[in-house]
Amino acid sequence: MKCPECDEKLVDYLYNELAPDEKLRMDEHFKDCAYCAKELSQLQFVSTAFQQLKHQEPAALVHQRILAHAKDMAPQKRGSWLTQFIFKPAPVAIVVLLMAVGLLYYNQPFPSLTGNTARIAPPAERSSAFTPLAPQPMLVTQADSPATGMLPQEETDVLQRVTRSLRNDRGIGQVPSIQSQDALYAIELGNLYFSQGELEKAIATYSIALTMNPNESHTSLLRYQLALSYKQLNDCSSAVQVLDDIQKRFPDYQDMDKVFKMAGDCYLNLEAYDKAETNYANFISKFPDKQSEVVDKLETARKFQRVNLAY
Amino acid sequence: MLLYQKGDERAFEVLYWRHQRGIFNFISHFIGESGNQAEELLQDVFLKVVKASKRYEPSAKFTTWLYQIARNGCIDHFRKMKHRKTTSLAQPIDSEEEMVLESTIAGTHPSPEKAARISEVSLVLEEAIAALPEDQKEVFLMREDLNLSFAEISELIGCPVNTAKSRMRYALEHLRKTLKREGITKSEVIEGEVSRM
Repeated sequence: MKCPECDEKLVDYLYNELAPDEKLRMDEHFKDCAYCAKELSQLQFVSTAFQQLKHQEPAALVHQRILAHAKDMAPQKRGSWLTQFIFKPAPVAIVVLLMAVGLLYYNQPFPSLTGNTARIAPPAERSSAFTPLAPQPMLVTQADSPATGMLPQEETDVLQRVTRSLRNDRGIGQVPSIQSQDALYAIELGNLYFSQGELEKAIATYSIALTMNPNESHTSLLRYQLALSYKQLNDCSSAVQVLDDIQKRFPDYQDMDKVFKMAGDCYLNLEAYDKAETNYANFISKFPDKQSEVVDKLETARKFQRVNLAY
Repeated sequence: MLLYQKGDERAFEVLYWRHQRGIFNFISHFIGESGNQAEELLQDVFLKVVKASKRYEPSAKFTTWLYQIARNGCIDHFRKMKHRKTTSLAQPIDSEEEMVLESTIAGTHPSPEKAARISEVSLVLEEAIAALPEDQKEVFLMREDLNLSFAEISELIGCPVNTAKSRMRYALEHLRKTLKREGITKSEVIEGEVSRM
């Protein structure tokens, strides 16, 4: 036997949407009407069963990305035009770059308008004028080319996209991504810092990128860049640790000549002449056509080693 | 939301942590999976919120606006999936999801037999929800996952309140019949919940 009037209100009762007096009437009704009581019980059963399905959580990285994006995109609180300008890295970088280019050309001898006596520096020489701004040539170009469309074109784009992948400074983030694309952006950000001479930031970023499960070629490249950054900071002890690790773990690394050479230089700097000698000797044995690059240093290492032994 | 419009990043965090779980549950139940696709949809929802924040006007209730974005995202996803015909919502959920369900109930340390049965109940219910007609499913999930009143649901989906209630009733009936057909009893469900607490 159906109970049409009550039947309509079962859902309201179940989800507590009845007025108090109506609810009381229904409570009384359930005592007398077995049909409605059973119907309610069965609907409650479904709702209860559904509640057991709950408590699913997205991965921590998802929270991290969304919040980082919101942070990036938050409308800026307005300050003076000067502070607004100063705290925007892209315009500052452009202005600095333009000034550097202007200074470079200002210092070049002007070509003679009357003859061919004036000499314009060849591109190689001109680029050397930038050496103080760029500590070393960028090595990312030696890495495997990433898939088309994966790399952003603008510096600000790099910064913006990588921040989604990095641990943010408010402790919301969890362990960084396991996605290699995130690592790629982190590498790009590290390179950006490196090229701007912000070596400590570069080291921090490369270190984080290494936790993001980059592929093997990126891992070895990252370690090389990390070692290079340490060396630029005169932290040869850290540099050699990373370089030794590359030699052990990535014996087929494509720029192993650079690894041996840098390790040799660092050990020489650390007065660990035996290890310097080993690295230079490895360089020569594996890259005999390039031995002229290190032969003098090898001799130096051997000489100092003999001196040490003599004492 | 108004604070976020003015540049207060923390305001967005507060909103996010308040609503993300309900939205994620709604999405994962709606599309029938709680993995990458649900996570992507969750991201899409909140990225849309961020993007549209400048246009947000306090005349619209924030939750209504947010849930509308979530609903539209799910419907779009559903259409795309139907178009591609790559995944059937009637298919059993994969082993990864089973693990999620088991871990959901984990912490109770039920016996292996009971755990298996609870998992089975969850699986049946997940499939039954996935098989619900879209209009019933959205009402059911808005009520159960988002805890919206029928008035709010009717406003969101643009139908009379009584229609929303009817759809809810049909959804509950459909799920009840499925559970009964699969031999799942009320005592099992209640026991599962009690032991979970």
